[in-house]
Formats: sequence, structure tokens, C-alpha cells
Amino acid sequence: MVNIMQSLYTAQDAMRINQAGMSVVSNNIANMNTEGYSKQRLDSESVAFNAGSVNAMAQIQSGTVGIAKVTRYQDEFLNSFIVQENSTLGYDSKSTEVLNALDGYFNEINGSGITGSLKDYFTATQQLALDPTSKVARANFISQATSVASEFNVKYNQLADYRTSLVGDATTSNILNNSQIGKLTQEINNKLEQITELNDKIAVSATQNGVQPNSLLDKRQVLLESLSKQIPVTVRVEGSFVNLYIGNVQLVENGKQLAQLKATVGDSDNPVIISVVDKATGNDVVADYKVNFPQDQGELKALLDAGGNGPDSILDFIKQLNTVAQNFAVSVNNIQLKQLPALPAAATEASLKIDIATNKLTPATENIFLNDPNSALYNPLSITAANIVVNKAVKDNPFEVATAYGPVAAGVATNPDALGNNNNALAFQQMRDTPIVALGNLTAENYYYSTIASVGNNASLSKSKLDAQQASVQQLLDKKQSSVGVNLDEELVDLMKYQKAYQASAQVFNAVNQMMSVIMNMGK
Amino acid sequence: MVSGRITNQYLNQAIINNTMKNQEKFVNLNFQNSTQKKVNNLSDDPISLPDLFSAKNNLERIKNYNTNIDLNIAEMSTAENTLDLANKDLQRVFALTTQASNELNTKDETTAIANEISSLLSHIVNLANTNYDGKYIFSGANINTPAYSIAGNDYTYKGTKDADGYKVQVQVNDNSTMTLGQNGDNIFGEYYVDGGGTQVSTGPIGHINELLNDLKSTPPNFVNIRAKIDVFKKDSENVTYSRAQYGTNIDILEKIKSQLAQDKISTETRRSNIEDADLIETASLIKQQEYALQASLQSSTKMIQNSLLNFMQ
Repeated sequence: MVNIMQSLYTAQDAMRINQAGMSVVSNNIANMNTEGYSKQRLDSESVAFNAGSVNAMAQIQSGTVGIAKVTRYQDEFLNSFIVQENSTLGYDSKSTEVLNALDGYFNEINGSGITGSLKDYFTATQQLALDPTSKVARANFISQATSVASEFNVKYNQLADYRTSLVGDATTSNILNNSQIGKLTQEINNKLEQITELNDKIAVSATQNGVQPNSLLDKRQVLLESLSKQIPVTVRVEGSFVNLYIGNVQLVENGKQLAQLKATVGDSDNPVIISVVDKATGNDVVADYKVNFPQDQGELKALLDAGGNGPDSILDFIKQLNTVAQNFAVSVNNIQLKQLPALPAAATEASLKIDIATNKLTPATENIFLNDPNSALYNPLSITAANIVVNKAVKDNPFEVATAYGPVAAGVATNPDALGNNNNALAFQQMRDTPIVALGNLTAENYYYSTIASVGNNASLSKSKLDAQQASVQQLLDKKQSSVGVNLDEELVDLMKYQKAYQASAQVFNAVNQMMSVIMNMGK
Repeated sequence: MVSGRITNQYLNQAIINNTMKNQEKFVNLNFQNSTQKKVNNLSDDPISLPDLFSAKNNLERIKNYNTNIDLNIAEMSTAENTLDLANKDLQRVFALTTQASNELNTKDETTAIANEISSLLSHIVNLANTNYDGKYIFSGANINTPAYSIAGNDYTYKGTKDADGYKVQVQVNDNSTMTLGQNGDNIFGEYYVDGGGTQVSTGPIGHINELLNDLKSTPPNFVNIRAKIDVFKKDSENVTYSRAQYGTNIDILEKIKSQLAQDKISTETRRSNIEDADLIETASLIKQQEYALQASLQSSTKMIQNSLLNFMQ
């Protein structure tokens, strides 16, 4: 039996459902630009009344409409793919950031920095060779040598400071915690905590209210995507939970966080050691993240690599800087004092300075470059870019520079008046073209050029790698956007759809209402 | 590119990304145009960096070598001119010696000749002590010491001798140094009594002193004086030879200089090829990029302006 009242109820339900549809549409439109928001859709279903009744009118299907569920557009396969690719993207973008910074520090194309000071130094040697008795030429030689030393110091400090800002300086945990890697570790731990909390909330809301907590799911996905840029997490979806792993170490299990990261101060080679520790006990689960997870994935690994002691790390470039500083200084010193440590009595030749008291040539006694302002502590092997300094004795008296080289007898120049002799000054000048064995048979300048070139090369490689990875992730994100994002036109069509359906249902209500009045007036 | 649903976020993001890309290219080109260099970052052209640096380095060296050469050419021209004057003096000495060898000369005439030769000697010694730019150019490496010191009848050479082993060298290109100056004793000789009491007498200075002694002796030693005619001829030749040496060196330096000029051009070309922006190319690329940017902005705004919203009442 078809009851006229049923139509009334059905019309009422329809109006309610269409209102709900409208609210889904309005939610979609409101969030069309929200990051990570996935479009929702109202799934309606038809609901039959007293399905079991059998009568003459049984052919007429009477029923109403109900909300099946609000579906959130999602593509789990794409999501896991994005998470996976994000880890490589995170590594590449962090490495590129570091190498771009190095590119800036080493950018001496316009002739500044060490390149420029070496060039000026060698020009000064040329002037010295032209006029070895000129105080001006000598003072200029010394000030150019000083500028070489200070450019080395400056470059060293820039690199060392930058390294400290990335991974700390292996001294205090306070500096480490304020470094990029310290902050990143805290951020990762925060995200793990938030994901665990969301796991909990989503489960509760799914079981207790029976409602899909779409906005929480979106939020969790956003967190997963940003976490996966930082560390290469594996995400396994178990019901309403996501379980997180790194390698085979489980970080989050359902509503519980099992492990977190910890940054501890290391040594000068690796100023920071990242370990995975048990959240409850604090015991190491993985003692050294860098050793255990060697793949180039995640920003954390990129920072560990840049701040560590591997090839193309900042330390590697600092070491190259030290090598060139040391070998340059030692080569200059070896020309200045060929008769180290002291001129033997039997020496037949010596490098000679000018004694200002007598204005005569006499064997040189002072080094040009030192590793410590206190010349007593001189040790050629201890010279680095950090400590290279010009000997104060030479700075105070530029006539200490040995410009001459010639025969000596019993420690005295055989012709002490040969002030114009410039053999040693020429040797300073010719050092420019002298390959140094310890620099792989390159000259000091060429070795440094190759260091600069390798920085440029790394930066350029890393940039193109990043571009490729960015393109592939962007494609995935586009694909995801295309399936889960909001399209305004689509929503507007839905809007009109619900509006029309609402108007139609209201019309049905009015019609039934009139029919009821007819029934009411039937007996009159 | 995406097929299927185009969502608003995708649309917005794509517009932003594309505009950014176009703008980045525009900015880079603009930067190239304003620096006039196409290599501004190390990563712009890492392969060519060592070459670029070494080219710049070589240009600097060429500049240095040129300075070396210019200064030394000036010094050697001075030496050459000085030796020219010295040679004129020697020729006058030669003429006077010929005159003096005439035994009919009166005593007064001989004295007058001796006086003139004596003043020529001091002029030659003055020339040997020429100081150019603070350096005694005939003292070898002993640039702060006058070449000759005069004490009584002694004319002692105080400069560097060949046997000393002290030299002044000049770097004129990457692989060669040259010794350009000449030690004065080889040109002018010496006249002094050494520690053992032996009279040392060499070169023009020695020979003129001997001549003066011969003229001053009574009677003048005409045999010796006549013998000197040939000696001075040889001395003059010797000075001419030294002078020619300076000339030859100047010539060599001029040749090296023109070689350096060639090197400079080729090195400059090498540097420019790596580093300098092709301004015409950059300008046309900038124009292209400008159009691309405008076009993309225009089509993008059209795309987002239109939606169903415009047609709903």
C-alpha cells in the first residue's frame, strides 16, 4: 500500500540530503585552495520502505533517499609514490642548497678572494724581481703575502661557520641544537608525535562516531608528505592507522610512537651523530643513522653528508683549502730560506736578505709564512688555511725578504754588495709555474682553480638532478591534484544540481500538501 | 601535463610555476646583459672554469712581462746611448793618440793632448758610473755601488764580476729569463795596483792611463804611444760590440713583446669565449623571453577569469 504520507517524508528527506550536499559543496569551495585538501563528495543511496510488503501496488517502488557516506577523493597508490619520491627530492634540494651556498663562497670569477690575492701576490713578486732594493716593492710584496694569508683565513672561517650552522662544531650540544640539523631533528620528532596523535584521533572518530574524519586524514597526509622529505619513511596503512618505518625500524605503531631521533655531539670529522632511540627507554635502536641508512634520501642525510667528512663535503673543501694554503706557504718559505733550519757553515750558496744597518747582503733568517704569530712555534706541517699568517719580523722589516741568492763562504755572501741580484725574487715569481708534488703536480693556483671548478661542477650536477627530481615529483603531485583537487566548475554544477533537486523536492512537498487538502475536504 | 580533471589548485600552481620559470629566465638573461658575462656563478659553466681562471691568470702575466720588458728596454736604451757616447770619447782618444804619436809635437802640444785625454778619461769613467732610475747600470748586481771608485791613480771596478756568480735576471715570458745588463769591467776595464803591488791594467780605462803615463814621461814614450793606436781601435770595437749586444737584446725584447701581444689577443679571445655574453644573442633572447612572459600572463589570466560563476544568476 502506498501511503501518501510516505511521499511527504521522502520529499522531506530529499530536501535534507540536498542541503547536506550543498554543505559538502560549500566545504569543497571553501577549501579549494587549502593545501592537502581532498575533494569530498556526498554519496546518496536510495532507501526502500517496507521492502517485504506484498500487495497490488507492490510494483510501485516507494522509498526515500539517505546519505551513504561522504567520500574523500583519495589515491593511496599515488600517496605512497609521492612519499617515496619526496625522500629523494628532500635529499637533492638540501644538497643543492648547500652546494649553492658553497658556489657563492667560492665564486671568485670576478677576481676577488684567494684567486685575486694570489694573482696580486705574484705581480708583487715580479715587482720585487725588477727592483729588489726598493722598499716599496718589498713592502708591497709583504702586504700581498698578508692579503693571501688573510684571504685564506676568511675563506676558512666562512666555510667553517657555514658548516657549524648546518651540523654544529662538535663542541657543545647547545650549538648543535641551534644548528640546522638540530632543528631538523626536533622537527622530525614533532612530526612523528603529531602523526601518532592523529592516528589515535582518526581511529577514535572512525570507531566511535562511525564518521570518516576527512579533514584529519588530509592533515595526516600533509604531515607524511613533509616528513618523507626529511627522512625516508615507509608508510604502511593498517585500517585507520598508518605505521611508519625507516629501513626495518618501526617508528610509529598504530597509536603509539616507538622510536624517535636523537642528535648527539660527535667529533670534528662528523660533528653530529644521529641515532634512533627507543621513545620509552631512550636506548639506541640504531646507533648511527648515517651508517645504517646510507641511501641518498631525505634532508637529514643530505645535512649529514654535507657536514660529514666524505668526498665533496664541506670538510673536503676545507681540507683542499688547507692543502693549498700549507703547500703554498711551505713553498714560499723554502725559497725564502733554502738552508733550513740554519745555514750550515759549509754552505756554498744561500738565499740572502739585505741587512739594513750595513746595506749588505746577508743570509736570510726569517720565514715568510708561519702557522702561529710566535715564530718559535713554527711547524710547516701545521700550517692550515685557518692559521696561516705572515711572520711579524718580515712585516716589520721588509728587507728580511730574501731577494738574492748567491755564493757564500763561511756564512758570508762573497759579494755582499750585489744588492741588485734578484735570483731569489725570480724564484718567488717562478713558483707560480712550479708544480708542487703534494698538490698532485699542479701549481698552487691551478690546484685552487680545480677546487673551485669541482665546487661549480657539484653545484651544477646537483642542480640538474634536483630539476629532474622536482619535475617527477611535480608530475605526481599534478596527477594527485587532478584526482583529488577541487574544480570550481564541477562544484558549481553540483551546487546547481542540489539547488534544483531541493526546489523539486519542495515542489513535491507542496503537491502532496495540496493532495492532503483535497483528502481533508473530501467529507465536506 | 595533466589530462582529465583540471583542478583549481593545479591551475593556480601551474600558472605560478610557469610564470616563475619565465621570470627566472628573464632575470638570468637580464643579469647576463647587465654584467655582460654569461658565467656569473661557478655552476654556470664548471667545465670551463679552470680554463677561464688560467686565461685570466695568463693575461695578468702578459701584463707583468710587458712591464718587465718596457722597463728594461728603457734601461738598455740608456746603456746603449751611454756606450755610444763612450765610443765617441774613445774615437777622440784614438785621434789624439795618432796626433800625439807625431814626434815633432812641441812639449806644450803634448801637454795639451794629455790634458784633453785626461778629461776624456774622467768623462768615460763618469759614463761608466751612469745611474738610471736609482741603479748604476754598469755595476752588474751591485746596483747601489758606483761602478768605479777613483783613488789617486787607481780606477777600481766595484761592481759585480762575472766570476762572482751574482747576476740580475729578468723574466720575459713563461719559460725564459734573460741577463740583460753587462758587467762594466768587461767594457771599460780597470787600472789599479792590487794587494801584491802588481799594476792591473785592462780595457780602455787601463789603456788610457798607460797612454797618459807614456805622454807624461820625458821624453814621451813614442814607441808605446804608437802601439796604443791599434789598442784603442780594438777598444773602440769592443765598446761597439757591447753596444751592439744591448741593441740585440732590445731587439729580442721587442720581438718577445710582439709575441706577447699575439698571446694576449689569443688569450683574451679564449677568456671572452668562455666568459663574455654574446650581447646580440642575449638581447634577442631577452626580447623572446619578454614576449613569452607577456603571452603566458595574458593567457593565464584569461584562463582563471572564466568559470561557470560568470554565467550563473
